[in-house]
Amino acid sequence: MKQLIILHIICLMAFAANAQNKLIISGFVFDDQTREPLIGAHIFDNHSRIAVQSNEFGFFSLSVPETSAGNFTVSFIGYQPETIALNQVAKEPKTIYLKPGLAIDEVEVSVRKRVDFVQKKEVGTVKIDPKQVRNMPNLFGEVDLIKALQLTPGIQSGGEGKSNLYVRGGSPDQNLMLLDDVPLYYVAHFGGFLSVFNNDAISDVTMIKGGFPARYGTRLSSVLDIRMKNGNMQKISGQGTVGLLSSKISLEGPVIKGKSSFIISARKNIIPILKLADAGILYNFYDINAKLNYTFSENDRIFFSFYNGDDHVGVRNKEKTDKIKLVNDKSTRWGNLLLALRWNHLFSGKLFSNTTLSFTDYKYRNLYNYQYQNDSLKKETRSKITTGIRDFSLKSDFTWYYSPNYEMRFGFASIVHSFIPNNENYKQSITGKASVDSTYLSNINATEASIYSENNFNLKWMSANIGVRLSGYLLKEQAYYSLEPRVLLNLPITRNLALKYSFSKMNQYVHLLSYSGIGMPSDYWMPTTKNVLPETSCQNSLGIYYGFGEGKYEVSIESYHKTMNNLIAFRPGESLTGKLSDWEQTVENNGRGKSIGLEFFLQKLTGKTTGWVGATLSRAERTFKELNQGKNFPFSSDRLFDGSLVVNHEIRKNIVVSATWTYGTGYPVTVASERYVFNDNEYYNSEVYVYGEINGHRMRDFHRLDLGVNFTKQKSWGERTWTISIFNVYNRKNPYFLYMERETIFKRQDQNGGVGIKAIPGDLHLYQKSLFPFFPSFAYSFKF
Amino acid sequence: MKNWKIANNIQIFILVVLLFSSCNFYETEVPIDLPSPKPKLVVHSTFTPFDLPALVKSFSVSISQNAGVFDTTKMVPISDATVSLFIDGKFDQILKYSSGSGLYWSNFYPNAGIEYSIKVEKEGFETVTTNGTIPPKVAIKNCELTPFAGLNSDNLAFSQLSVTFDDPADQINYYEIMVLGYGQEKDKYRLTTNDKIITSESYYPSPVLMDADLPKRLLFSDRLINGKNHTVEMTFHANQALISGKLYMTPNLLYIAFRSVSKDYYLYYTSLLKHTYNRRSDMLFGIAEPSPVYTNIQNGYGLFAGYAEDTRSFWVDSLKVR
Repeated sequence: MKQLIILHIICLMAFAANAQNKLIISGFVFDDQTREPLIGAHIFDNHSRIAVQSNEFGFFSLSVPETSAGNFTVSFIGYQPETIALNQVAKEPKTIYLKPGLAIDEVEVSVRKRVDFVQKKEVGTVKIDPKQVRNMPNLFGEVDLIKALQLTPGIQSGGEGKSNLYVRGGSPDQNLMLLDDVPLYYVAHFGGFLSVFNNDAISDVTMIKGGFPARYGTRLSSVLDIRMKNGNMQKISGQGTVGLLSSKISLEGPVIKGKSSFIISARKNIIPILKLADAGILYNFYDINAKLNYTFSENDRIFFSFYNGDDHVGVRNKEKTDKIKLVNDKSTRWGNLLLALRWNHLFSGKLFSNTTLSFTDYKYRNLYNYQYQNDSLKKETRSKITTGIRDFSLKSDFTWYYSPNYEMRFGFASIVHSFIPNNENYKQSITGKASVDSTYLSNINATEASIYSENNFNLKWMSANIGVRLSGYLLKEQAYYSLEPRVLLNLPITRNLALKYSFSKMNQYVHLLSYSGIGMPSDYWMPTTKNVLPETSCQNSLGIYYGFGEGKYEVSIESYHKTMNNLIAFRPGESLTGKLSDWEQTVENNGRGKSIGLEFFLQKLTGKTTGWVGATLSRAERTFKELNQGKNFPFSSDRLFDGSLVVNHEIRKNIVVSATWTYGTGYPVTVASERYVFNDNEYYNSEVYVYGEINGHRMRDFHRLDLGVNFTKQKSWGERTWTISIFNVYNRKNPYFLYMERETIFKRQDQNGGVGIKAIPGDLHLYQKSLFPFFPSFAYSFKF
Repeated sequence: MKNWKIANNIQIFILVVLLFSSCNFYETEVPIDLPSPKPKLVVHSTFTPFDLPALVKSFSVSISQNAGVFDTTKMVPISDATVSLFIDGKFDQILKYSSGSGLYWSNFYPNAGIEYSIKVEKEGFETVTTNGTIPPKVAIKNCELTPFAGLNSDNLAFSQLSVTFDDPADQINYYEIMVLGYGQEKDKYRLTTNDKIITSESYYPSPVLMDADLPKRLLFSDRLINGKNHTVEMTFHANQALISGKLYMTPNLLYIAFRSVSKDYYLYYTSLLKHTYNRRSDMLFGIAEPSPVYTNIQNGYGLFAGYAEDTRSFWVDSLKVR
């Protein structure tokens, strides 16, 4: 710890001299039409050749020599660059508005190259443009950014139709999913076919798979940082989509023009699919995103973000006659509620802060309601079982733009977790008998806190982000703390080629106990305790990055090595039901994980044709003392090879075609290897399967081609788009899961007085279930 | 507005067509090559004191063997194994094989509190050993049956049963409840309950689990009721017939079996129930983790365990329900 403090002081002193005689240019970069902040816009001093990027709120700070003359240029992909003379710059922060347009000139390309390869230290980071996601082929007319992320290297879905993210061999609970800086715990609708993120409400998506800056923590494997739009500050606008599965609408506009705006987006399924298929099961989901912001001054802005989403699966039987009334309802619901209040404050042109007070709540509920009534008897039973997690959090982040070559980020966060492993409420009343009303609360509260410091150096021959995070955790009298060093190095070799390295140590104090390992809404979030230690990981990654074609193309080859410790899993056959007071006895908590991989990523970022090619060679395994006889076994998302090709092409201004093709080697599964039968002489014959090595078998390889086309037409009131998608163009039967089933043979046999049919068990077979065949879908969307 | 309606109508039509015409797409048989498993003996014996209705044999052991999971060979009992019985660690006798029942048996009558062990030897297999005891009997204090307690969601009659007992405080106890009918054929009824001591068991299906076969035996421990008097309430489908549009409960003799079982017995049957449910879920949803079945047979598979039983019987008359 002492060494780190000394390092900080040395850094400040080393760069102090550089800070003398500097002119500070700071301000915000916004979209001219909507006043949305442009995250990652480039600000480039044409004289000193110093360049910076705007932060997640659109703020930038650029120090140039006081004697600097000339101008600086602000640019962002998809917008016309703006050049501003330095003598026009005032001491107060300046707000710059960029007009949308496709002008790409040498200045912009040059700026981007300079920033990306000299100063951009990100390793293992993917940025997804929500506009690009909108053009991609989709299922049921649903564009989904999680599905788009699953097409990038190092990220697996775990199987067809799933919204899980297995990042570099990590499990779904090891991903920190942030919506406007607030974590969401379960992000899938409709069994994983789509995520809770409404693309229309999103402005920026950054996925960090490795090389985590110190400001991020609490999870081992990834950070998905999603920013909601703020809302159009200039005029009321909106958009909507009617899809096969759901429909959505967004409305945004000024509350006070130029000072305050709102956005509200809502989505709901419109066709009760399972009821339509006469499955007797009702399924509904919805989500609502809303945001309100107000600008007090150039120095102060506040934001209020809201998200609520829910899935509901239910079976209802209702009967009423003259004599009998019967109601039998069984349902399951799961969903999130998120509230966040944020305050941006500018202390000066050099010091920017963001403070967030937030609440996030995830719940999964099983509900049962039974009522029976006749002339003499009335019986009513209600049962509610809840599992979930709730967080209250306060965090503050500061960015100190000390000098052109040194920037410091620091901050703190505290979270109060309330774990709800299994709350139960049971009521029963029966005519003539005493009523029962029992409630069992399982709430466990724990506190997590952290402070961090990041030091960003930008030298001519190298740039680096060296930081440390100190995290602590307290549950009753049990405390843990950990120092998490973070290093990101960027070594430009030429103007277009850079070598990058990162090291991250991460800690995770919340655990997800899962029966299936694939991330289900009914999985349990559990705390770190005296016996269940914090999960930890160490990840090294090394990559080469190369840009060519005047900045239009970027290619990278990155390798990673990750180890994880203190992983937990249910012991075979165990469950949490009825064992909350001693749940630690039901788990193996000495698990280790190891994953290695090599990722290739080629992107074309601009032009009429954009897209990417990604490929990953990897291995991910787990080891638990009491599982698989203590031997290593492949992790559920282990896949030797995974590749994707994504292409969007603008044929004409109003017609965009898109294609995605994915290929992956088979996921592992556990298959029964032997069986036995016994007769317990109580008319109970049983066949028992004995399972072989965990994940010792592989499903078939997976590959699929999807095509899509968007036809856009300008109307007097706005714009409309027809989207036609074909999912699984060549009808590949990709494996969804494997199962065994014994065939039944029907034989005629003579019975007393006649002929009967007897069913006898036949041979056992292994089957593969596939999910989606060739599947066309339509969507209609509009903007005004 | 017009375009929205067109979009909506087209999509509903396509969705309906695809959902109903794509059923054959979904399932494909997968060839698989698995090595033959190591031969292992499978032992099954549950034993109880003799002074009970002759629903079960007093002491008998079935011996069979495992096979590859896709092996189509018919599973037959092993008839030439040597099964040695030990009582409190001392050799007692070699059990005789009965070709009629396919069981190894003895005419001695086991009692509570004594440790019984067997050793099974057969050429080509590793010798297996196991031991078990009969726990003390816990008596039924009260047992009430309501033959017709109402109609369920399928408009069928169900019966309600309550069993009251005193759980001994000085030890961990495990129990099992079964309802057997001797109307037209011997059968065990599927039982449903909202009693937390049973619904908190990990094998008991969640109320929301659609199409779940309810268990024919309710197994539970005394973890939540240790040393207390407790009443378990449950319901089951009564024997009934629909005649000329009218529903009748048919005459039936019901046996209520309340067993005090050993820990091995409890672990085996709860894991077997979970294993069976998971296999069914695996077929429907493909998400169930493989759930192994417990065994207390060293070097083999199966169960060797004792139980003590108390019973009640009820005669149910014919009754017109609706």
